[in-house]
Amino acid sequence: MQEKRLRYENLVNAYNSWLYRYAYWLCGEKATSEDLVQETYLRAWRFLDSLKDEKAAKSWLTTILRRENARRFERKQLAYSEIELDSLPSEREDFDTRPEVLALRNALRLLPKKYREPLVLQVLEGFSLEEIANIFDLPRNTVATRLHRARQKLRKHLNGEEQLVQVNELP
Amino acid sequence: MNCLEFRQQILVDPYTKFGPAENHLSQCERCQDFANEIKNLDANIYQALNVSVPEGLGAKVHLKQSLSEQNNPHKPQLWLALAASLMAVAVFMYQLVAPSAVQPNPTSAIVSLVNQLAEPVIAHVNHKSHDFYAVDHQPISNTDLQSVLSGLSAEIGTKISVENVLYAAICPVDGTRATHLIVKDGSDKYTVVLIPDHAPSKAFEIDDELWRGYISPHPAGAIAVLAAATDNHAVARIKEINDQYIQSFYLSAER
Ligand SMILES: [Zn+2]
Repeated sequence: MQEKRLRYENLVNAYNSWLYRYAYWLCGEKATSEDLVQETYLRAWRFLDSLKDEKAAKSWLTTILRRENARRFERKQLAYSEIELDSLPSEREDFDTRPEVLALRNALRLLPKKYREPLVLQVLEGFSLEEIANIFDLPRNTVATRLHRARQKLRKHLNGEEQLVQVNELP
Repeated sequence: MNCLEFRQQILVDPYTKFGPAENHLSQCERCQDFANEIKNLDANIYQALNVSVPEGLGAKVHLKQSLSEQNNPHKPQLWLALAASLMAVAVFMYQLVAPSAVQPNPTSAIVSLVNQLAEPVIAHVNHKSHDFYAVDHQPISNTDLQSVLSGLSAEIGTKISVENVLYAAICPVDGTRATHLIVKDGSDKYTVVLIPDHAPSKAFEIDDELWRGYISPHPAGAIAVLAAATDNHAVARIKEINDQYIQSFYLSAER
């Protein structure tokens, strides 16, 4: 038990910041992101024995959080109350407010989720193409194409060639 | 490598050191500009993504976990009930799938299990749709399978072939919406049940008169694999099959 707790604490300390930021770029809301991190770690505690290799921990936790986010929409769907946003709502952020960064943060919110998500994993946390492909259970080539398009779309948006617009998508 | 290939590569991954790309880069001024533009873009993407994390988040996570441990001691009864539910489903299936095979008095097994079962499970095993078990199975269509799995936001990973899925349904098991599959692996048949939210703390075996099974925890819930106890060949590979499904069952609503 003591050993399990130690192992768990290491996981919390090592990855809570990453998971929070990932959650933020999944849901776009600070409070929900915090909840998602909490839920992810509660689940991780229960299943800690199924994590055999510590090197896989980051991918494992990321997968759990992704699943928790999907579960959130299942609950909402049942209530017929909300639809999932493909683009994220904008929320005030007080971090790094240089104009070029603000413009990009806004563009990232508008970027469809299938492009945004792999980009977050690659740029923010340095996941390899193989790791991303495994987490999404997608072929490596598909992930490569999405990353390619993600950067193209952001470039074109910032250059004024092709504007990203708010898109709502049924789940 | 030409300019187009170089640019494609750098848009996919600006971080890797590419052998053939380095040659091109040293000779092509326009691509040097392009590479710099993308690296600059990525530096800004990083800054934009790197939102601040609430203070003390790690400590809050620790606290919540400790509290949940105090408020939520282990619930072995739930697991007994779930195992029983699965066995009842399995026993019922067995009757339909293999009516001519040797049956060591399944009726009494059902009766004794029924006493412990929740209403939804009884409804489940008695449900008309399960007449399907009596039919000779053909692989189901990918569309049908996906429509069942999408009910749980579940998908079968690329490692498990759709042609091997003979039956798929969403079934209430112990009050939760389980994904219920019949799959073949070579000549062996297995029942695979994915139970969301229900998580055993560790894997355990089912050793029933009629059925052998293995239930193991999965980040999304639990996965049970059952085979007819008389089928020695299938029984010997239960854990292997369970492992395959643990690795191949993804719950990814968000593709
Ligand atoms: Zn060039």
